[in-house]
Amino acid sequence: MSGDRGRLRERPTSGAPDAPTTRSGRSPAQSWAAIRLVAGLELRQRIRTSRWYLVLAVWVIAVYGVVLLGWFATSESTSDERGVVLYSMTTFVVLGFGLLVVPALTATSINGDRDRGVLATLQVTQLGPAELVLGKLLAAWALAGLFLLVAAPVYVFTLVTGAVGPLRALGALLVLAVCLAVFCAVGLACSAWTARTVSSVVLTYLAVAGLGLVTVILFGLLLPRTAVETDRQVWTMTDDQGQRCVLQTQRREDLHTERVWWLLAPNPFVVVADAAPALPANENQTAFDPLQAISTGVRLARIGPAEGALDECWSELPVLREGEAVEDATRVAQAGPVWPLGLGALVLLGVGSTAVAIRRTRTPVHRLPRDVRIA
Amino acid sequence: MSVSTVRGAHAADPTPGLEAHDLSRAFGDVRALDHVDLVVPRGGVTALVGPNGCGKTSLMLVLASLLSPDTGHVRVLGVDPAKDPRGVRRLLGWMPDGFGTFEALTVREVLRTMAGAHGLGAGAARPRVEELLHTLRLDPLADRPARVLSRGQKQRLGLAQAMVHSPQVLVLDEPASGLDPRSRLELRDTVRALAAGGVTVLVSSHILDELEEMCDRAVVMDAGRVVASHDLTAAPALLRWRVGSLDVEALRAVLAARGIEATDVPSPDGDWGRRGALDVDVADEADAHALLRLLVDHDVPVFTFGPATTGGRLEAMYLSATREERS
Repeated sequence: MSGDRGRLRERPTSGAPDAPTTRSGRSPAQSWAAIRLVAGLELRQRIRTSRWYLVLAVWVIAVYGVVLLGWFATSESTSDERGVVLYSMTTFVVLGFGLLVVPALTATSINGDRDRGVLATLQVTQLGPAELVLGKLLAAWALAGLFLLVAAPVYVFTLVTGAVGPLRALGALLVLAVCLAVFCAVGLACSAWTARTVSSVVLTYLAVAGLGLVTVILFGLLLPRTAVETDRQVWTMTDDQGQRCVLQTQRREDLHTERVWWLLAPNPFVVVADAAPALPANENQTAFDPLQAISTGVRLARIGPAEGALDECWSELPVLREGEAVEDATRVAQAGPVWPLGLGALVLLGVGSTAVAIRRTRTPVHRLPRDVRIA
Repeated sequence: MSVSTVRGAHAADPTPGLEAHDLSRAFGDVRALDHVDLVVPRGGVTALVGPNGCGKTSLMLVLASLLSPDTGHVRVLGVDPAKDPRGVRRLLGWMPDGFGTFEALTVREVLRTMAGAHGLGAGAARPRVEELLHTLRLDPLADRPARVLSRGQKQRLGLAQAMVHSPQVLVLDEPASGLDPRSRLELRDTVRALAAGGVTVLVSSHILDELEEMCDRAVVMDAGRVVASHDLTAAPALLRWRVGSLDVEALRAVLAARGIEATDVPSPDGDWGRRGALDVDVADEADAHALLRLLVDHDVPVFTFGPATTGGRLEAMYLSATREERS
């Protein structure tokens, strides 16, 4: 006790009124202890009050139900194919359900505390707004991590069967974890922004749904607007004499996806799919990998329509064709990954949301939203 | 707007416990605080009284570093919460009106968490928490979850939370509400003990006679302004004394013979027979004693003798201060 008292005494308690004073003079160790304290408080509160084990049980049933369905659906496949399918499905199920469950962890975190009258009692302590918000974020993220952990055995299985390399499995888990943290941060910002818990829940789900669905819908709606008519060289089969592949000039509509592809970039599904390293090229690989498909699609969308002649003879014959369009696979490789941009956008969103939440938890309060009582 | 300075035991200390200068704060078109000037000297207990919505809670929120004023500033032992909120929070303990608590935590865990939030290490927190549990009679409840506490027990926990970092200033918003008579007496003793130890206490309440026993000074607020401030330890100018007699005419005659002015107290049921009561202004308790001796010497059958306002001086002061504002 004496040590703490001594430290308290060092601070000027009645110094000159206008002397510059430290707003946050806290060491990183003190701040980290404070963040841990808030996180521990949040976790204890949540684990003891809410029906979290019910939610977790539902989560386990949902994830493994889908995995089981996938297992039966691939009963005819090789173990490699099965591994790929299970890996992709699990990743999507975890992300999809995470999109539904995780925002609820933080959507009423700050305004709920204010409603219960416990926020102000913490605000009058040495805890700063950043420590409060980061503590809450850490607690929510830890719970979200629990949901992620539930799915981990599936990844282990795909690793064991050798269908998916360790890098790919780990990459998916990491990117998933970052996405979940971003959802948590969005919920925190909404709960700090609005006074009523109902509003913040709706707002959080709108924001998260906006990322997952609205980006795709917008992309789909804007796609026809990118169409441009151009003359294209096309290798095509002639009708008259049959079976001859000739080069013709045709009027074609090109979709300039490179103008709207960025709408897809911050979509969490796209980020997760594109971040997972591609499967090793395997001649016998015939299993449909949805992650790979999304990744290829977005990368192609990014570079837009192919230049050069189009091959519409689709013949396997080794006919010499001048100026032939480059193969998709080569073009995808040239396009480069989309996920760093998408993940960057998501992280930016998460950091921005956290900053908003911190700003709105700062005291003394200058402007109060309508109907908010501080205590 | 006059600066309402109330002198107290520690008035010699240059830094007041609490100060407010030209403090205004509006919520939309409601003026919660309207150019409040206030100085509370260090040490002692000051009552903050006033009708509902008069700005007491707003003033306390500004002092507790939660709310920014539109104009003016406050100082807590010389520290301005607008410039150094952490400094203020180190010095000040705040107990809000109608606060919630961390319902899933036990009483002991709540206090340990609050101690940690105030930056006390585990080594310092443990003995302090046990000490508080004992002082506020919370030890039988220490391992119960906070949600099962009664209202009065929650109030005691709230006081313990406010005191956990041994603050030099305590701001208590309606601490006595919901307390049973025994707990109220204990609250009074706790607050008096803190004040005796040099802590500056600002306490608001509607229960005026409770405050009167607890407080050295009183500040009356109405409509966002400080309308009166009194030193309750000093003798007031005149006291109104009520004398009940079995023979009111005999009482009236003795008083009239001495030229003492008296006003009739209307009887509640209309007919008291010969019984009745008169109110008499006396200078102080000694004067009241002289009056009683006079009446007894003249064989006036007196059966009640005491202050006319049941709520005591604070209530009389409160009523007169708020009445002046209303008229």
